[in-house]
Amino acid sequence: MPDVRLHNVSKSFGTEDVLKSVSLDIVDGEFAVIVGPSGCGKSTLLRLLAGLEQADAGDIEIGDRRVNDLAPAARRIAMVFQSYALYPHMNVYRNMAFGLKFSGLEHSEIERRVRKAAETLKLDGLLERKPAELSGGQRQRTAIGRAIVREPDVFLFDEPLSNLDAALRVNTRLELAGLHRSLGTTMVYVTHDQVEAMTLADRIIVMNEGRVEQTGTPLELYREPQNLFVAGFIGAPRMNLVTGAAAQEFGAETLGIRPEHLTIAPRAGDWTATVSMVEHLGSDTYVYADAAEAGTLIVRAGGNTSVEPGAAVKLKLDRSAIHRFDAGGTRMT
Amino acid sequence: MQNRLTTISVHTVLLVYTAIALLPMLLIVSNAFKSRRAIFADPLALPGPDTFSLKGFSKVLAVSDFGLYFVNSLTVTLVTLALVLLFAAMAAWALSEYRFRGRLVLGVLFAVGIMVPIRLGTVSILELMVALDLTNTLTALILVYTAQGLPLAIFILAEFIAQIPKDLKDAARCDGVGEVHIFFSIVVPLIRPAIATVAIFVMVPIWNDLWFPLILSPGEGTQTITLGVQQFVGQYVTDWNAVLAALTLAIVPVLALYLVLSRQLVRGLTAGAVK
Amino acid sequence: MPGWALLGLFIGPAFAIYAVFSVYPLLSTIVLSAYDTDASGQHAFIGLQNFVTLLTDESWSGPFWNALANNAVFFAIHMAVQNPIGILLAGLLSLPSLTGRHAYRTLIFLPTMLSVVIVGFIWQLILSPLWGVSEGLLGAIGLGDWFAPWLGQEETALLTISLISVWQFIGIPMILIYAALLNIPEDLSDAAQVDGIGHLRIFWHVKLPLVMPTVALVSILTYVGNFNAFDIIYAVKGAIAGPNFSTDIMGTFFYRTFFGFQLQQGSPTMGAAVATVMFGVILVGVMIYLFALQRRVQRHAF
Repeated sequence: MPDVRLHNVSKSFGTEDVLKSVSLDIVDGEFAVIVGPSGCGKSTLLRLLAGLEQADAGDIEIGDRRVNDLAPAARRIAMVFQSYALYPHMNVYRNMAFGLKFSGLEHSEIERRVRKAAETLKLDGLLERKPAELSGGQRQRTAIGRAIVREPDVFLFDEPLSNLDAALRVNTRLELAGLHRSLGTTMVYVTHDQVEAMTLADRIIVMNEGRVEQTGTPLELYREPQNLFVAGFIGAPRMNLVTGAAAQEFGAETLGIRPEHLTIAPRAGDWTATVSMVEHLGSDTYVYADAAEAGTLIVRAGGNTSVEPGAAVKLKLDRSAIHRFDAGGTRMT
Repeated sequence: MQNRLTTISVHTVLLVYTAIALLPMLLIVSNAFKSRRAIFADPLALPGPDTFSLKGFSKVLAVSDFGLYFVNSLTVTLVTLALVLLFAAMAAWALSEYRFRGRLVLGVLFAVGIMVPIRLGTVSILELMVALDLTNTLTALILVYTAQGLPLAIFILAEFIAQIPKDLKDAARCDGVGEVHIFFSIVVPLIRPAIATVAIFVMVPIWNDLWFPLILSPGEGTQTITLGVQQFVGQYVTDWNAVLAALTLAIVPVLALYLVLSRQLVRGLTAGAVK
Repeated sequence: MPGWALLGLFIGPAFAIYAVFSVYPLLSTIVLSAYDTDASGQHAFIGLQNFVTLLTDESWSGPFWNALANNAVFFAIHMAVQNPIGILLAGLLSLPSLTGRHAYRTLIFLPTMLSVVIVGFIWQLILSPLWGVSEGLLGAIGLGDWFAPWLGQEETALLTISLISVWQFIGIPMILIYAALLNIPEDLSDAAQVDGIGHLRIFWHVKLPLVMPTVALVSILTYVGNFNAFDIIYAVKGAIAGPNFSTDIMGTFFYRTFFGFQLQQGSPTMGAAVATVMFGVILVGVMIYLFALQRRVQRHAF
């Protein structure tokens, strides 16, 4: 079973500790997304898995093998890079076949795999083209194709969608999800975009400052963030975090309320606030309101909400859906 | 440009300087095709039906071995070029890609060679060549010129190699491509434009050099074109037809090659200047 | 990190050739300068005696200081003539909307490609009073009386040869400064223009300071080239560097010392001493460039 396992892995560049004793378990066949702000160590973690960097301490296992000392090629992984890393002087076919040439595969087998991947990725007609003659989406698919033909145990993706425009990004996201379904191979995917993480992942690993903050399914993270960082990072618009007396009323240092768990009440409410800004998104309306006790709060209201900036409103919170955090920022039960 | 007057004066200055640059060469080449009488009677005139003569050229080709000199120069230049490009690219790759002990020292050692002229070691180079029994061979020239060309070539190529995206090399490593193959299949094709630039930097000083041919291989049969012309002109200094013809034979191939490659050359110099 | 075998494979060939035919000869030359050759050809260690001889023995010190002084003049003329002309040409070439830019650039650079020897001969012929081309040309612009056999006169020979060398290599400062000018963002001159500053002022106050690093680079390249020059003098004047050694520079002095001329025996050890002095002179220049010029003349990142 090619599970991917990290045990107390540390890595520093000079004096900077990029990964601080990170442990992880990724189950065979899972689509795992590592998400976090830039500089959190997620890309380094992926490069350690790939074997492009060496861990300072700890064990990295793929399947039942400790791979710390194995060259990238011996780890049975394939990686898709943010920049795609297509060889500019080779056409699509040679880009996909290049790595296989060195693995001792029969010529006919290489050809079969490349043709099959090209078919899967709708690259059939483009095999003779050089990367410069491809669109962004086609380059992206070529990069994925180059990974597929290796038939790896684990796919590694390093922010593969960040060079695509918004529309293409949504499309490719769906294609990636489809690909994972049809191949059933373990995928480890790094991104800073929490929407990508929520939509693609079987399991999300949230990282911050070289540590894993929380691991879980998208909904687990959304519903039960274990700490303030995860609470603030997952979900858009972000969770309202209230401190001071308003929080202490609930026995917490910090009180977290998702925007959809606040409602604008006609008469009685928990807090009185003044509307400062209103964003109409069609399906939803985001109302920004300043409450004396709780600061600026974002309320997710229905599409046909008609409050105006300057209006005084009452805000009511859904007490069953509040998140309480202690002074250390940890979730209270 | 603001007005016509400025335009005209700018072009005047540039045209005058262009004339200063070209006229001496044109004078030599055009008089090489004239009879002795016409060379002195009217040096500025182009060769006409009355004054046209190839006497100088037939003299040069009859009494000296210009064809051989040319082949010698070509051999030395091309073999050196091949060695410099291959070895410099390999060293530049290793120095810019791998972190290893002694890397900095090696880098500095090669950098020193960019500034310190190899000529200063001539005394020992000659001793060395005598000891290796290589005097009066083209091999001696090739070895010295390769040593001379390597530092700058390594420096320029390393700059280019550093610009190759890291992802490309990492992708190949993930695919199990060996380091030697990464170098030859990915790095070399990608630095091809730089190689053309380096080629020009390496070739021109070698082709034009007088010092080392004079000292290491002045013997009959191993002269390069520059040394051959120098010896010929020294010997036939009073035969104006022959001297002009010899100079023309030395000038024209270089000019022809330059005009073909000028775009590449200027681009190379311009790119190097950015650093 | 790759294994040492792999590193050896990549770096080995370049290092071996460079070490044996460049580093070793340079070091060995410096070592040799501390030896003397006796009649049997054996070397004997004499410490700094060669340098003492070079600087104090009249038969050596005279020619040595003469060559060094001439070399300094040779360099000074290069600096005084090539940099202003190079800057002027580069400035003109970089003017926006100049037609024929590429042709000018290519043609003016052309002499740089030729062999120094060939260039020396070309000018020797052109300046020869026997041929009379120069006299004729000067006559055409009314300066016929001005002509003199410049290469043959003691007072003018060095100046003339220096100018021939400048003529050949003017393309290098021109091209490098031109490239540096092109690298200056247009925004800068646009901004100055919006502020009502004229083209000439923009060039003088905005662009020129920004290309000073390149001028410094050109200067050190010229310095190294000049203090190791040989071919031009040898082609035009021979190893004797006449008339009366007035065109003798370090390169020709080194050559005569090493190989001998006329009655003087060549001496490898004394030659090595001269080469070591040249090495020192060049090193001083490079150091000044690296530690003084390059730091003072700031590089501006855009």
